[in-house]
Amino acid sequence: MQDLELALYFIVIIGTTALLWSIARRARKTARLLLILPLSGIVGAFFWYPPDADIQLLKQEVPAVGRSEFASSDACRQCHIGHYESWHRSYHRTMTQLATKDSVRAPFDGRSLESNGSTCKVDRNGEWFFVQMKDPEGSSQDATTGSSQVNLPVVVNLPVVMTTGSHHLQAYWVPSQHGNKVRLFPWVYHIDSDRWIPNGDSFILPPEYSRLPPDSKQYGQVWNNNCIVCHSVAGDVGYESGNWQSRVAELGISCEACHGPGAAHVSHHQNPLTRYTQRISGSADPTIVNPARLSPRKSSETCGQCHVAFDEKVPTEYNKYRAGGEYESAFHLADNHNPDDVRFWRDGTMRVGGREFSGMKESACYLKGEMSCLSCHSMHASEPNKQMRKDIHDDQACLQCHQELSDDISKHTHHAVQSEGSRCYNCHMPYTSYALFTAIRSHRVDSPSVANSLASGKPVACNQCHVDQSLGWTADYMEKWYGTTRPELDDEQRDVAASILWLLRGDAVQRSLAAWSLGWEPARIASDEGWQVPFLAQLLDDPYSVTRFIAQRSLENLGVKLKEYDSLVSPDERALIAPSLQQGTYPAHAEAAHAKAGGLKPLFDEQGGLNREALQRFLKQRDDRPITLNE
Amino acid sequence: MNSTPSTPTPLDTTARLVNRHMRFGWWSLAVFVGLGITLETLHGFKIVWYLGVSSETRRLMWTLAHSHGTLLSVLQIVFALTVPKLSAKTISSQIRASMCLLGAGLLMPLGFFLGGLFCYSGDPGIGILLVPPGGILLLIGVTSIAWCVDSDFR
Repeated sequence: MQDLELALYFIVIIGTTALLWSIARRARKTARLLLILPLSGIVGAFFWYPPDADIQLLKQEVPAVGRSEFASSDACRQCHIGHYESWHRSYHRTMTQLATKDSVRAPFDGRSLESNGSTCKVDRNGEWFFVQMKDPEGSSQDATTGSSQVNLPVVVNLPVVMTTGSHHLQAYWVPSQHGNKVRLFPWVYHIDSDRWIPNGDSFILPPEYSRLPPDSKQYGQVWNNNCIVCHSVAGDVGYESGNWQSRVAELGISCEACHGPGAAHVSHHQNPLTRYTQRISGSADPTIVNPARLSPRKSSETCGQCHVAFDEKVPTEYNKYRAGGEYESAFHLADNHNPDDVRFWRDGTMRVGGREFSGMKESACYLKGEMSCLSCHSMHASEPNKQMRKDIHDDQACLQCHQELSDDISKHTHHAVQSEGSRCYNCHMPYTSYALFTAIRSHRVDSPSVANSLASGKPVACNQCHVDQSLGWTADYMEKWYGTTRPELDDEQRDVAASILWLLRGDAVQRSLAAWSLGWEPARIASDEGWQVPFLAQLLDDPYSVTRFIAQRSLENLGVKLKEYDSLVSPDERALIAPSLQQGTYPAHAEAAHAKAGGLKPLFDEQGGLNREALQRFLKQRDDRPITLNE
Repeated sequence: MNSTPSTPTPLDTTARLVNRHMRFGWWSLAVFVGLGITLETLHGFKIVWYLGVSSETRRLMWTLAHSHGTLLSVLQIVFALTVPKLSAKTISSQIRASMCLLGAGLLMPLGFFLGGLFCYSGDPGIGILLVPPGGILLLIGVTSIAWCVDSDFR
């Protein structure tokens, strides 16, 4: 193509020069000097370098873009500019991008990243981002002689070709020698805290993973057979005999993920007459899917092609589902009630973020009512963060259907109208899921229940705000306000703050969520603050890296600055921090707790000192079963 | 019959200039009006290659090619209409102006067109390098005509 471009370029120069020469021959000699101007273009050609040559090189290293039945967002923009722009602002679009100076968020500044005896380096050269790491293909040879007899890992310099995420975390992908397969760089960048984190410390993973070098093979994730299903449109793995020729309709989540393949729609509407006839008719366009016109179920399934938990034991069959099409047969979904699947609470509620449809499809509002994802969210009339509908504020999303509660909502909630306790979703969609270093709202709409919490392990919404109160206290109010039968409780459940029991005795997810709740602003307002410090300090030495990270952030929310602490430091170093933060006394809280027999009473002595015997007893009961949540 | 080349008279030169710029101007106008209709058609049929996000540069370049080509065509015709009203004493400047206007009339619109034909993300192709020399030629040409007009009509 560039040959043709250069040929045409020189034809214009030579033609213009010849024409001017034919005139200049008859003119004064000085007029011939003007020929310099068109001829100067020849000099320019020697310095010409196509401006997007780097982008073209990147495109060769990543899965190929473009599939025949899909038209691409580029085509959609021609007619739907407003919708295109709202999508363009979204984090859906930036889920997968080529690694350019516009997309890369992390500092590639030549720094070394060290963890568990492994060192990686991140650097930049002009438009290119580079990493230095152990060869992800796993080849090993003697670095000095080139002999493959000695198993020393080869350190390689690789370009970063692709990024994942742009909101909270960003991951980076490097090319391989097998077609367009790309592999994960073992460190991710946490945007909120502006720091690099080993990949193994960015998920809830059993502690033994945190002790591995970040570039060990356990983390050698391949994009093409994993992320491709949700982080691109219509991904086709394209693997055959060790060679990868993956192809996607588009990188990132774009128009045709939700509206279905658009090539036929574009072709049909290229005729202006067809377009105007369609507009005037006002009817649904049969050539494209509009989730807003689908039934609540079909509409939600469109989101559920990604925001759902797949059955991890069955290989995912990619590339079968199209928006609005047959859903059940296209995927192998996880069984919410499989007691061995740690991704669910034992009542079937999802406890991993990003799988919201798995939660919603268990809700009465969805099963018996008209609720869909679009009841609360909008992909186009919303802000990029959370994508809540702009035309619906606070409780209005629920009151669309539950109108009988709207006149006097405090009669139902028993909390002041404008308080956090009167927000529908704080009780019916509490923060009982985990993802990306934080708690996420459950998308299973249900009611707080102490009995269910005891059976499932799921935190009760009331005790996520009233973090200083016990399940017994909650059960009393539930019985008094809603006539709920009081379940059987043991002494600790009846007397000790439920959040502290989850924090000290729970599994990794319960501990992480409890740590988050203690730092949550509404909880600090409802339960006062300060007394949480010695308990959160205990989690600074938690076996799970993510739990430590969340505890540290909650302590910071409580005003505790931990300059010397890092959630990634060795167990020996971090064990020194907790005791120093547990020395203080909290007399005001102890006094209040003893006065009203609150859930803090068994945790502090009369003077406000920490009850270490209780603390150690709860720690010994900690649920240490290994948990893996890859989100 | 012997035909010896004779030095062209100012009248011959004027006639040749008028002839050249009238023909060039009207044909050029036909080409660039045709380009305008083509661009409108690309809009009407929503051709991705012209209207897509990655084609924004192409759209701008070809719009500029169309507008510059059309205006420079009109300028050629205006020059052809102006030349007969100028005196013989400025004939060399008129020839210089003629060269410059023809150069600009080719380099500028074709530079924009080629720059849009081969685009690189947000940047035009190599053809864009033809535009600055074309612009300089246009400036010299217009200045030369202004000088001639000023000399003759003062």
